[in-house]
Amino acid sequence: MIRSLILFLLFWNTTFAQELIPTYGEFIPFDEKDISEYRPQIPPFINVTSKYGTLYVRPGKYEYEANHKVWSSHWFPYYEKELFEKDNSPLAKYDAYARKKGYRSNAREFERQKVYNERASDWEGLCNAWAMAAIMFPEPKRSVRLYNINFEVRDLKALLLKSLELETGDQFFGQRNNAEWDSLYADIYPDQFHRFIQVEGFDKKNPFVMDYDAGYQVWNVPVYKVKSTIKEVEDNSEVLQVKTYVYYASPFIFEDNFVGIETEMKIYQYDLYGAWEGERFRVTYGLWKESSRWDHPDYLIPRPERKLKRESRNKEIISKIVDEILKYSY
Amino acid sequence: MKKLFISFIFLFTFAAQANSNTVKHQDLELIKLGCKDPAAVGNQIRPSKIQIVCKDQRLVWEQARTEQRDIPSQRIISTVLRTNKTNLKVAPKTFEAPVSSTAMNCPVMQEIKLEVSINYNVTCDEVLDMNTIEDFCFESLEKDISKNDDIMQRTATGNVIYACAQTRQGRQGRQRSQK
Repeated sequence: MIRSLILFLLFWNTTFAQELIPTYGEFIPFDEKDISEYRPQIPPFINVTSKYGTLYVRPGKYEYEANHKVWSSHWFPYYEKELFEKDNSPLAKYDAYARKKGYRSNAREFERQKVYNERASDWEGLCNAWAMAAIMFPEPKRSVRLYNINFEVRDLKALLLKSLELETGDQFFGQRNNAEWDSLYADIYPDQFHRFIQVEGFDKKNPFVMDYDAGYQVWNVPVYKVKSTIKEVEDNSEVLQVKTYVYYASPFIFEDNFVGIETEMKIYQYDLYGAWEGERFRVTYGLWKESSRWDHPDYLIPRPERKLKRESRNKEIISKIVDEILKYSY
Repeated sequence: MKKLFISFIFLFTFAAQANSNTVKHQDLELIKLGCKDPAAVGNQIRPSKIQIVCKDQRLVWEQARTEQRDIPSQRIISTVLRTNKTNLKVAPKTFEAPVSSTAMNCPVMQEIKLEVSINYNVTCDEVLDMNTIEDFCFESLEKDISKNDDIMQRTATGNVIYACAQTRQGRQGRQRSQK
């Protein structure tokens, strides 16, 4: 009896345990057939359908382009000294301007002493602030000269991003992968992803923020265009095959004062499972396919329907002053 | 005229590192070495988050519209005045008479820029199988675009060719040389 139990446990461990091994935020191979059984039907894994309702789809081609123009910017990693190091750095210029206006500004030193971290992870930076700024603000396009201080486009973008540093949006859809014991790599699940783009994209024509790294790193980008193709599968009425093309502005630009959008695109493939209800297909769950099993979004943030919170980790930065400078650049 | 330009950007991180190596043009052989033997490049583990961004830019000509042009015809009537007793030595007189012209459909071509940058996440095993990044990008772009070429972004460059302009000019030129 005990021998049988040990054999059963060994069998169970080698067959199914892979799914239960903590992945520490990164992808490990798994048997796709097993995953639906482990799909958690609780928040945050079903936040999209909890808010927007059940996903129904029809085969066909779908497309939208956002009614707001997003833009590219450098993402200012935390290990870089660019924001404060030189006399012509963005924060040195900001201090000079603020002092001309009568403020005792010391943003440059504050950044150097209390924000800059030479040991910051190599993916940490202002991508969250940039992605949010890009879906909410017009792009600073022209350099600005005030009190003999020349703010280049890169300086202006840096100041705007710093003034939005602590803005995270209203709601994350999908669980943010923090490499904890309960982080699920497969999240955000494709059915949740598709319902989100149906509502925020195809219906509202909104840009949105997407963390395109399913692991623990965060790479937020502003998405402005999506194309999606849904096809039926021969001899299987319980599944639809989907291919979705997501266009976003890239933070990897190679000109300091770049203006406009450097577009990149991700291709996501997934199957949606469910049943037909008349002419509509009611989706109950979805599975990422092929390379999208490891390369899919982590979470999505919709465009907030409010003014953004202007708060920085650098307490010397006053958003009113930033806006005074920026208004000449639009 | 058709120009095809494929470029690529290679991004990766060594997960064990916390330095500024993230965003630079990287050499495939260095990544391969890191995948094969992490210690050889000073790391304990293989590189992760390897991304290859393949950019495909094309300039193509498309027919924007057709314009109806009239190809001018010509009718010249000459008159000579003679008599058998008087040698008037009058040169022939000519004048143009009305004649119907020929209508023709002329294509107007416009130059279109087609562009797409696709971000591919690749594993160390895929990198080790790669010959060159150019090969990888060419094959990947061919595969993804041939299935669905409307994924490329279209922008009109503003360059236009009026296909009939030369025809008319040629005719006028010939007329001038006859005079």
